[in-house]
Amino acid sequence: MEIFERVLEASPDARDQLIRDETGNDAELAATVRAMLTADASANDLLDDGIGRLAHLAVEPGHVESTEVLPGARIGDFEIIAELGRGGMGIVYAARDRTLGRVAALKLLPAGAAIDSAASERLIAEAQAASALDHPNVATIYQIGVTHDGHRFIAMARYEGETLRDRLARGPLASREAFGIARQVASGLAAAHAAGLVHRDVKPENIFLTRQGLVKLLDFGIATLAGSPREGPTRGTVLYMSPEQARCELADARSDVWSLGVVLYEMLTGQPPFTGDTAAEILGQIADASPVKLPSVVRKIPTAAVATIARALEKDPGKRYANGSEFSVDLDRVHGLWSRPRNLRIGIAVAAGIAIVAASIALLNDDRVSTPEMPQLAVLPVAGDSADHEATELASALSEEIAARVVGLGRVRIVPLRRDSAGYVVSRPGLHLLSLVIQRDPIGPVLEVSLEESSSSRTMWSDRRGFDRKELRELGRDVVIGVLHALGQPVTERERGIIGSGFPSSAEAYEEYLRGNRLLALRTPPAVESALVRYRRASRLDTTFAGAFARQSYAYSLLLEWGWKPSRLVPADPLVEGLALANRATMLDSTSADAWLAQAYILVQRDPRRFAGAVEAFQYAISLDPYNAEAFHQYGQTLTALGRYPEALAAYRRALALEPDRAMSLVPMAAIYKRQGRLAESLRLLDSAVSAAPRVPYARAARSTSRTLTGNAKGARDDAEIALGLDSNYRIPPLAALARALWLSGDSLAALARLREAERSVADPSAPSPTEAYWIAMAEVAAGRTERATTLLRDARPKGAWLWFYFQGPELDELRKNPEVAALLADVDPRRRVR
Amino acid sequence: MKTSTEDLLRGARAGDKEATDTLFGIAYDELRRIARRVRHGGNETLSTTALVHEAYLKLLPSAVPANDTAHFKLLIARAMREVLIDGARRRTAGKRGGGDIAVTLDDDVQAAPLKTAQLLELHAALEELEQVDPRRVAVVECRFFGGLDVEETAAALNLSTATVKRDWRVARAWLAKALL
Repeated sequence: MEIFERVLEASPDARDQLIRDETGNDAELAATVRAMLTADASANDLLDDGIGRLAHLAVEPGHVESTEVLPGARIGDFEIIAELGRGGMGIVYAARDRTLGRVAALKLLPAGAAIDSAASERLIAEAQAASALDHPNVATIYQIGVTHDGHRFIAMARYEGETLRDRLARGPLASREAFGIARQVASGLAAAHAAGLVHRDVKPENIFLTRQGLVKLLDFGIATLAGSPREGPTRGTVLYMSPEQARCELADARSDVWSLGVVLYEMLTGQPPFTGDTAAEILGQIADASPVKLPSVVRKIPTAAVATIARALEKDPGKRYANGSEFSVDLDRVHGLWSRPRNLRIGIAVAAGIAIVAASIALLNDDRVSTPEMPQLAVLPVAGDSADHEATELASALSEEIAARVVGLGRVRIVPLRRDSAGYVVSRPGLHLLSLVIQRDPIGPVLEVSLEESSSSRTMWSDRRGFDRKELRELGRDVVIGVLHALGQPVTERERGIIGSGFPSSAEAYEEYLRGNRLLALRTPPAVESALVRYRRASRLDTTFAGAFARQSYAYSLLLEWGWKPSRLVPADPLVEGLALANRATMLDSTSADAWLAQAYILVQRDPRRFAGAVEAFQYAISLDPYNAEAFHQYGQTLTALGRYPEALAAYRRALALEPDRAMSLVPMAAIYKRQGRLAESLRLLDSAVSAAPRVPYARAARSTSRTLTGNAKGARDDAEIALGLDSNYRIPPLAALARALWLSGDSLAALARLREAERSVADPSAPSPTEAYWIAMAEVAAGRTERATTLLRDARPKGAWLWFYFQGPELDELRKNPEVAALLADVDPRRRVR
Repeated sequence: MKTSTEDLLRGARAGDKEATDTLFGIAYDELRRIARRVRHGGNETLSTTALVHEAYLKLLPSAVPANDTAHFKLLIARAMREVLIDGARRRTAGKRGGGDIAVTLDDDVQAAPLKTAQLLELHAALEELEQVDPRRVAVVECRFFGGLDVEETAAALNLSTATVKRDWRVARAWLAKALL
């Protein structure tokens, strides 16, 4: 190269000589230099064009979807409104029928498929015939056709709900639910098979679960219509293929039976029976391997269920069910084994709740804390000997439980303790004070209980007992009964049992429970997982301890809300577990506000779109314990996400009245104000939140964003930076808030660096939680990257009320003007009426 | 983690690995984003120079010291190289595996596969050259992938314009020969 450089510098005449001198006898080297000289003198397309015309290579082919059309485009009888999603088989759009006005889901297939027109006609006819079946489990097709540029499209009825694939992304289904879905699919297949039609592509993507619980089979005949024979099969498409399909033989009804068998297996276990890293590997498994035995994966699966699936998955089509109809008979039979629906009990429980709710709603609307005829009770903090710290702590927890029990029976009101400026308890007629004191005694700690009327200081009842850790239940029950008795409220025999169940029968269980409470209060995923383990132990040590079951369910709800991922500590499906645990808790003690709170919270998780039943359960929990700030707060949160702002604000105000410095409640109130355009009030609330809890990161992160809306980029930056340093588990909101503030102050590279960091902190980038999606989207929008924000919204899970609420903020005003965003948000709007 | 844009740029120029990686990543993302957007808009005539320039304007609106911005331009050029090579690899991988839909929207459908192959060859040649002559590779990156002119390249690499001119000519001849 150096030689070449010198040669280049020489005059053209002298070059030849120079090459000879420099290379000596090395002919190869001389040739190289000469070749370089030639290359230097001649043009080179690639190098001289620069890469001007290569810029498009930066985009991978997958993004160059030939089926992309813009809103407003006309296809068949339809006008495109917005993109709904995309998959391997083209893009799905929301489209309006120009004559009938109805909105349809329009799927535009790639043009590439080289199918001869006769085959194509046949398949179109088949899809139309399937639609003509008019079966409740087969999706209705409005129109099938070809666009002027040769793309096939299918316009079908648009249903509310999700695909089975979406559902599976949250984990396996309960056996009953799985068989319930499978029998509906089989029923749809049965009708098709009877008409001589074969689906050929039964898979979770093609099974749609409507919100009404109806299952719709999509895409009849379309698989072959869209598939390109030139291309080899991909991993995703072979998982559900029957052995005969894998051998490229003709698929008949029995092939559909196989595919549904695979889907059913996957619903139960979360994994398809035949898997592998490559298509070839999977095909090999389908042909030869037997799947992992169901009973080793699924707990308590009936033999009939195992046999049914085994028959659907026979390698030899002749040994399988002959068609959907035969399959559905056995599926129905198996489904019938679960005679009592898992959710029925919740249904009953909620119904019971609603009956009593009328009273609690009246209470919510009434700002006075008490009605005069009920005795009032305030509980003094437990006084104890510092030498026996453990006993004192146990007694403190016990006193809370006692208060909850007394309230649970509905005949006494517990009121917050009020103190005057000197620290003395404010007394008034009708207010009773309960005090518990732990004393030291040679035989062990002793508990002294006394109840006195506050204005007269008259002792109404007192007791002194050994504080035996093995007899907490008896102790607690006796105190509750003693208090009620002294207040003129005798206790029935049935109530005695209920009261007892509120207390743990073993001190070990209680201690585990208290440790769990401490962990739960930290509100971080690892702490909540550890809390779960404590509660689980507590409930094993004492299987009648309602509180342990309730809190366990509550912890599951928290994890679900934060985007649960399977872990060593929480391997089961938290939704199913949570529902069962909340049921168990309300069954053990129907008067426990905690149990109802757990019930309400898990119902929120069960139906992220509308929180069916949750509002009623919250109201019932509140009626049982109207002094539970946490219950009001959670109730407020639920109403917030549902867009019921005035009611939500009222609930937060109650929570604040009970615990004035709750930053936790101030922040969502500020969020509502922000959405109502009351920015100044919103900022004032956030100021109070930050000063009440300067070390709570979410108050700072929220204020940071609000400050950017008023142009206070400097303040926004400070808040976000401080928030970032407060909690190593709380990363994404402060990072995104900081990115936004940095961008708005012109620090673009630093902003994008923070944004990258935030993006990388997302637990599951393919499905960010609504919170994660919101925070990052808000920073992306500030940086002008609206398409990234849209992608976040599109990918966020679960799709529901929270996603809707988060994306209503004024910082996303611009984004919401995008038609796709508007359509995505309309879809999750909890206020919209369901068809 | 640096807090401001200035800190990041200064850090990268001083050789701080974390700052360099972060900036490189940002440039990579931004280039792909712009390229994709231009594709969707149907504008096929976008040149790399325009692309790099747009990324540069987008990412550096505030005033920063000239030598820092020059170094950042070098990073953008390197990112552009990687973006193009990754794109080319994805294309060829897609063809072999048969999983992806073939590109059909190109105006130059015929030219695309050819250029993809050439680009990968060029990349290989550059990697070879890197072994013996990293400075000239840097010049090629700035001029070819970054669309920088001689003066900008000189500033980014802290070289004289004469050296840049000579390096470019030598490297170009070497690469042209290697690509024959």
